[in-house]
Amino acid sequence: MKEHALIEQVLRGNHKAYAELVRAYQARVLRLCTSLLDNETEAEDAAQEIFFKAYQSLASFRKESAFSTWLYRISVNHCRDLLRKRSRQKTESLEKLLEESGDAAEKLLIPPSDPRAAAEAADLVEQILSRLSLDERLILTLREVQGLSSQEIAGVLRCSLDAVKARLRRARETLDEHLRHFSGAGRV
Amino acid sequence: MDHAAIRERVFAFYDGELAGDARQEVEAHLQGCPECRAMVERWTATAGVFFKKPQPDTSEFFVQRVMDRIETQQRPRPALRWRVELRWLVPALGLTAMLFVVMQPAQQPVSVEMLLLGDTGGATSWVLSNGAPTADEMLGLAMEGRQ
Repeated sequence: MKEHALIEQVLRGNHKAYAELVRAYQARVLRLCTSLLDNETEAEDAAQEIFFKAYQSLASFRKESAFSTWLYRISVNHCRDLLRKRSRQKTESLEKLLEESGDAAEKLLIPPSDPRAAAEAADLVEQILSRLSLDERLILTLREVQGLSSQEIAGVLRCSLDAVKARLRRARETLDEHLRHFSGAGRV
Repeated sequence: MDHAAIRERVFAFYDGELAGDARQEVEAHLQGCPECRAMVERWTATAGVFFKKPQPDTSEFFVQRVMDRIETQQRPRPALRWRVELRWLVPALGLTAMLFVVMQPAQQPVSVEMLLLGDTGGATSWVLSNGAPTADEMLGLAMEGRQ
């Protein structure tokens, strides 16, 4: 209710009321951007842009859905665009990656013993994640990082509950396959 | 319970989306099925490695940057509903213009004579007549030419 009152105030010309909404959602939007983009600077710029876009489109927000769902939708679309641009620049071959990272992938599910190993593991995690399709990465982030329920994800992605469940299961299977693939390559 | 059917629900259990009897059924199955239990344990470990990231730092500086940008831009744009409606205006106007051109009655072809003589008023009357100009007509033309 408080959110809707703030939105009304912004739409009536008190744009300073928008600062409250930014404060309330800053962490969630930043976290989503950081998870998807995996670059803090880029994520912060993206989050700024998302809040600005949301402000500009505030009049089109219909109160049928939660403000958070609407804001997530804007965030997801913005990050998706950025990732699409980035994926065009991806050059490293899967074979090369398998060759170099197989051993490390095998140990990935075991907590790293020292900071250097942790940094290497984090890098490998990002490389494996980058092998997922945009939609797979997106749905896993919404579920595992943001903790959204399937129903909420359906609202953000504008699809049915069954579609969310099917996509989520496929994305999990794909990630697991990649992990096994990497681990298997390390043993050869 | 059918093993294949319960596997379908293991992730719903993991996601905390099962309640009551459905949850208890899966719990009971997991206790007796090492394969499904290993699947849940593996995914729990994978999610822990791939998706558990520290909470990003929030700051008032971030809020201020957003608000500064808004200050320079001011009001939100009109609602999408309006923009969607206005989007039809451009092709609608184009279509109207096209129909206007197509529906125009056929114009009479413009001859060279009409173009050349169209603005000459009374001076053309003798040209369009079959006969030669009279002396008075010639005088009238000469006078018009001087003015």
